[in-house]
Order: sequence, then C-alpha cells, then structure tokens
Amino acid sequence: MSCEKFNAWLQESLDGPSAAMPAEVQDHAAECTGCRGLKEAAAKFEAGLRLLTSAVPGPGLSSRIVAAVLQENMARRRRRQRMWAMAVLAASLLLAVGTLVVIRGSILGQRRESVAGVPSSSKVPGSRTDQTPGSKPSKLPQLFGDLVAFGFRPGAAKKDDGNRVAYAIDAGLQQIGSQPDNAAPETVAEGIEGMGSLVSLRLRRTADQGKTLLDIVTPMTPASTGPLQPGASSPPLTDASDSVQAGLKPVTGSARRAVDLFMREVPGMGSDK
Amino acid sequence: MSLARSAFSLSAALCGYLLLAFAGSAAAGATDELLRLVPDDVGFCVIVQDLREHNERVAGSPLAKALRKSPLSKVPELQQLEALDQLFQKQFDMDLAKFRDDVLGDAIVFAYRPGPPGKQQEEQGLLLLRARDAKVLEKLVNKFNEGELQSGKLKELKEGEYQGQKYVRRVKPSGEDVYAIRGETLLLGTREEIFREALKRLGEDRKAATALQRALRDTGPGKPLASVWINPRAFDAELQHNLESSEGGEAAALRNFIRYWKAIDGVVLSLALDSDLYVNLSIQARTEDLPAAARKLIKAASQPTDLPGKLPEDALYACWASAA
Repeated sequence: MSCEKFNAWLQESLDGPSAAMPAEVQDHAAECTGCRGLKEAAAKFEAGLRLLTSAVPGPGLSSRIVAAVLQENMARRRRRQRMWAMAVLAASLLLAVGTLVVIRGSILGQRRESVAGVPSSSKVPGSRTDQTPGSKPSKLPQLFGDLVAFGFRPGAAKKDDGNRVAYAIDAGLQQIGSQPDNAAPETVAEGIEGMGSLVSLRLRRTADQGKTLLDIVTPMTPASTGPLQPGASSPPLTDASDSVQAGLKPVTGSARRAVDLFMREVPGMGSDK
Repeated sequence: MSLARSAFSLSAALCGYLLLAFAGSAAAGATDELLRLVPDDVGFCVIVQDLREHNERVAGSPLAKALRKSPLSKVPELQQLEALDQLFQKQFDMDLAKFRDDVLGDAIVFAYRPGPPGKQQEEQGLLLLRARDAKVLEKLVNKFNEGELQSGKLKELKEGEYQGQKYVRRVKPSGEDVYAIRGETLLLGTREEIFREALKRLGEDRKAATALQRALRDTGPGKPLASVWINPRAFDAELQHNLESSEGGEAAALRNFIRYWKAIDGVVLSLALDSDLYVNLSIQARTEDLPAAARKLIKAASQPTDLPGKLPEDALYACWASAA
C-alpha cells in the first residue's frame, strides 16, 4: 500500500463511521513512520472531539442580542429621520429660491420691456424679450435667462464664496448636463451596446439600492483561527467554503473568459476591442 | 350529416393535436441536432431552446399583461429596444420579433473550450444556431457581413475547405472567425479547430448520445428555456496544475476537493417554465466514487419523500433538493 492510499483511507475513516482497519493498512502503518504518526494524530483528534462538550449559551444571551438589534434599529431610524429632515429642508430652500428667482426675473423682464432704445446686444439671451411672437416659450431658457439677469453665471459659483444657493443651482445644472447621452444609435451594434449599458446601469443601481437591505444583516466577524500547520508557508484556509472556492477557481475563471469571448468574438455582440 | 360533421371535427382536432405535437418534437429535435455537434471536451455549454414557444406562453400570461400596464413598461430600456427594432428593420429588412421567432426561436448553443493550463488565450468558442427558415438565416448573415465590410470591422471574406466541406473565413483586423450555413443550421467558431470538429460531426451519422445530450435529458421539472452544462473533465488538468503549485493547508483542501470533483460527471443549471418557473440545479455524480461522508449524505437524501406534495398551493417560491 502506498502513502497516498493510506491517506485516502485515513480521510475516509475520519469522514465516515469507524470501520475495522484492513490488514494492508495495518501493515503500512507498521512500516511507515510518517503514516503511523498521522494515524496516531487522527486517533488523538477523534478522542479529543469526543471529550468536547457542547457550548452552552451564557445567561441573558438572547436578551443581549435582542437589545443590540433594537439599538441598531433605533439608530437606523434616527439616521433616516435626519435624512428626511435634511431633504425637506433642502426642498423648501430650493422652492423658496426658485420662487424668488422667477418673481425677481419677471420684474426685471417687465423693467426691460419698459425701457426704450435698449441696444439688441444688451438683451439677455433666452429672456422674454428674445421670444418670437406666436411661439410657445420654453420655461427652461426663460428661467436660465432670468438667472443670468439676476447675476448668476453658470460655472462661476464656488463652494466657498459664500453664495451657497448659487453654488447648489450651478451644481444641479452641471449634473443635468452630465446625464448619459441618450442619442439614438446609428447601427444595430450600437443599439445592442446601448441596451447593454442601460441594463447594466439599471442592475448597478438596483444592486446599490439592495445593499441598504443587506445592511440589516451585519456579517459576523470570522473567529480568528490559528495556523493549520505550524511553519506552513501558505495562509491556512479557514473553512469549507474557502476550499470549495479555491477548487472552483478554474471554473469561475473560465466562465468569465467564456462570457468575454462571447461578447468579443460573436458578431453583433460588441466591439472587437 | 351530423355524423359527417362530427367526423370532420374529430379529424380537425386530431390534425391540430398532431401538428402541435410535431412542432414540440421538432423544436426538441432541433436542440438535439445541435447538441450532437458539440465536442465532448468543452468546458461549458449554454443552450437556449424553444424561445418562440416560451415567449408566446410568457407574453400571454396574466403577469406579462399586468407588467404591460404598469410603469415598468415605460422604462428607458424598452424605448431603446424600440429604437433597436427600427434599426434592425432598416438594416436587415426584418423586425426583432421575426428575428426572435424565425432565427433564434428553435435552438441556440454556445460551447466554450478553455485553453490548457497557463495558455488560457488558446480558448475556443463555438456558436450553433438552428433557424426556422433557412432563407431568412442566409439573408441575415449576408446583410450582416455586408454591414461589417462597409464599416471596416471586417476586412474580407475568404473561402475555407475541410474534408471537402466549404466554409467562410471572416478576416477581421484583429484575427478571424469561421462560419458555415448548412440548411437551417449556422455554425460559427472563434477558431478553426473547434469549428472543424463540429463540421465533421455534422457529416457523421451518430446514433449514440453524447455526454452532453445525456446530461440534458432529465434536469428537473418544467420545459427548459436556458441551460448551462459544466463538464468537470475539462477542468481536471487545471485543477491538477493548481494542486501541484500549491502547498500547506491550501494543497490539503484542494486535494480533498478533487476527490469530490472527480466523482462528478456533469452539472446542469437550467431555467424552465411550465405553469411555474423553475430553477433546476442537477449534479450527476458516480456515488461509488464519492468519499464515505458524501455517500452517507446521499443515501439519506435519496429516501422517498412527499415534501413537494406538502407545499402550499399558493406558495410564492419553494426550494428543495433530492437525490436519485
């Protein structure tokens, strides 16, 4: 019998019910010092396991867990309340500033209309004086024009210059400008790519939102484990899931490569980058 | 007169039933026809089958009707899909619905063979497709090639030949792929090696079922729409390579993992539809080669159970495992 076969037998005897030791195993253990040592270690290990008593939870464990969960829930509720208060405050501020801007803008517009002989170059682009009679004016250029007339210059507001409202409006406008370009695709490949981007964006957002739900379940900190074998150069594997993950690495790696290959090489699925 | 009318109704019903049965078996035959072309040593195989029939069933379901009326029907993805549909019509003279039903509707198979350990760039992919209409398929492929030639994604089309069978090599700036159309079947390979194996199998009259065909025969309840087959044998070499290059606790864990892995013949994950939606995971293993602990577990799990029968009728989802 070889050491490898002995190891397999030892592993099986540790995994399954205790069985009588075959004669060839006994012979090998008598001959091989290393395997005999392993067998003795396994016997000691099993004896040690039998001596172990089941852990008994300490008094008041359930109360402590319930208290901790309630405390966490309270903290989360307080955070949510603070967020709502901030959102309401921000919305009120925005509404107030918007109203002010529109009222002020309309007053300025009326003044401009009443002033005769104003050179055309001094007219504010987008303001009501620029509108063609009969056309339905868009509110956005009007509001933008009013903002310009009000002394607001896009891109000029800075976070620290004291005018936080102007900065917030500026940042908002910039954000509108930075929305993904939804230009119509010109080819089917572009269309498929666009669809892919949209779907992946949606999935990312859904996953981000889903993470807030996951926060409820806080992962347990794994107990620190000592080295499996003293002096071993590679880090020990902590549990069975690690060993399965390590074993499945060729499969998961290949799965990723297969998807890449499919997206890259199959005509119409993407670019040939 | 009444007897004649009854006889006519009966014959019409019988014809209808036979037609439906024939359509179902034709779709299953199309999938089987493609599966026999897949080489035995591929690592993964993704199969999509009966898309047309599944689509009809899902589109007519109360859930789909409710979704069409919900705000979900106004998501930008659907608008993009409409734009894509128009482009598709413009470029290929067919809408996406026709493409889905006439080209993708019967069966699509994508097989992947990983490269040897340390040479992963030598991976190979094979795409097989069984269309309902050969003319539609050929027209689509020709139009697609024309478009790619015009855009510069394709440099030229060359003719290839293997054992008297002609095929097309699509020369791209960054390499080439190969394809052939045989009736309603399209074969496309990212490398000639795997493509030629499929082409060779196409010309052969094989009776015995391949490992892939056997693995997909009984994967669980429902009619499968999409399945992924994992062939453990394709990863044995890399696992052994990893074992040889690891040490300590990692090597011990990997060695133990390989003992289980070698007893597994195939893994199939499938999405199936019936009146319910099923996600089936099927692991085919040789129990006699499994370690004692796993044998004990499987022996206990394979005892007959009436658990599925005890599930409530209105359960939203249920999960159970069984061994046979």
